[in-house]
Amino acid sequence: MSPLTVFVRTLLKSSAICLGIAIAVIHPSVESGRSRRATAQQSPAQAAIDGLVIALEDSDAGVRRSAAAALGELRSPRAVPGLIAATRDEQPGVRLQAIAALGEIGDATAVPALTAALKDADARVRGRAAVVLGGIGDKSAVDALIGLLADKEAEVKRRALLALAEIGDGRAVTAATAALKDPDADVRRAAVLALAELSGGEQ
Amino acid sequence: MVSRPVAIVLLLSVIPAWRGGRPVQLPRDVAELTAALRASEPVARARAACELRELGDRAVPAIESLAALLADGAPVETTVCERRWWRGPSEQQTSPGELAAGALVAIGTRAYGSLESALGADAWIARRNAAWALGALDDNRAVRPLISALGDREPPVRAQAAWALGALDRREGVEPLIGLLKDEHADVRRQAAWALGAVGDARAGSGLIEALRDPEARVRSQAAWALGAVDHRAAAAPLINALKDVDAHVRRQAAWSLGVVGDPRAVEPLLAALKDRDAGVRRQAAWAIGVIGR
Repeated sequence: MSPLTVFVRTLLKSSAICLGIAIAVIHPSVESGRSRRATAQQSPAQAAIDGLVIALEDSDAGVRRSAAAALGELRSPRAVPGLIAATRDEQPGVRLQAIAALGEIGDATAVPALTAALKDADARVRGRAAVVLGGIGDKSAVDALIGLLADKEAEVKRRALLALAEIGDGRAVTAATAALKDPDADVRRAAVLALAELSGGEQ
Repeated sequence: MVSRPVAIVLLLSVIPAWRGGRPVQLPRDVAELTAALRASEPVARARAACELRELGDRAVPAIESLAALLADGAPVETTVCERRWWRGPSEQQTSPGELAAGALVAIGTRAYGSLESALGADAWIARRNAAWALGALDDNRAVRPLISALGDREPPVRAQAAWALGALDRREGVEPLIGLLKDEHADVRRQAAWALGAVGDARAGSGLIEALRDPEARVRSQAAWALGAVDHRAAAAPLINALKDVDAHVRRQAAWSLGVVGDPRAVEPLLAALKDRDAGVRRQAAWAIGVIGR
């Protein structure tokens, strides 16, 4: 109840709205918060997951996005095949949410699909896939992430560098060094961080 | 900490209130503006009220004139002021009286006495505008007079007083607001349900559960929202019932509240709601299942 109370209070004190009929229909967002309890995977959850996986094929993109977000909350490996299919959804918002959910679940079987998503037409999807691959930490994604350093979007390159740093594979050193000459300052900064990480973490 | 979804709703609610361009005009002093409150053109009166509002408590000498303007319901475009101050995005018009109420709120607690008196004015528009201002003023002395205003003979005044009690967020208002859920006017009942959700007192639970069977859909959906806002445990079963309401808004809102209440028994009915014919209901059901399961 507390965040809602805070919301209501803030809304009211803003006094911007009179006759405040506030119907709060809340939709999930891409970067859904950390889960409060880690007890998600058991009991009635299986039916819930199966139902949500079916909803990943709903005719309405908003429903598909919501279902993907919910599956991210539930964090069950059972949802991985359905979410992998959703990384090829026609709507970028759904692909983005599916990839974020796969990141929450953190299952390595998603790595090939996530690697494929590094070539997505939508820059946000590419960047998010890079972040998730970094989190999973599977070395098979390294080459594809190095390839992403030639992306046209600076933010995508920056995320690829941070993912490479997280995976910590020495193959990335040459590419990260080249990124020190990137025209974008944020990319250069990420390259410095990545190099520090890659050289410090060598065994 | 404000959670992300909450922050989003907050933004969506407030953004439309901050649009519009600044009127090109030289600054005028309080005396000039006070005189302009009696101009023959409604737009001129409205502008004067807006400008006085910008002066905040420096407009104290104008209190009486502003209070006299509260009854002024002449329609003017919301764009007379530099931003939409009074109503939500759907509302296209305001009035000098509403803008005067805004100016009195900006003056602050020194305007309280005039506003309380205006609650007893002959013109209902003045009483409604005063009720709004008392809700926005955040002065606890207003609770008693506002509770009395819940018995006003004009429905818009009762609704506005209910809003104000929700805005003031004081528990004294809860019992009278529960009574108002039985008002003969749907808009009043809806506003009462909203206010009870805003105050968030558990005593409102059974009244709101009953309001889920209101003949008007807008009252039912507001009650469903309020039950989520109150986070009332016993609400799960009636909210599950509301997932079968004939009105899609009610079903949506029930799904949202079930997510907030977080009762695992709701999962199965929510799964059924994933097959609802309304996409909004399916979205909200998916969201709720995720929230309950996390």
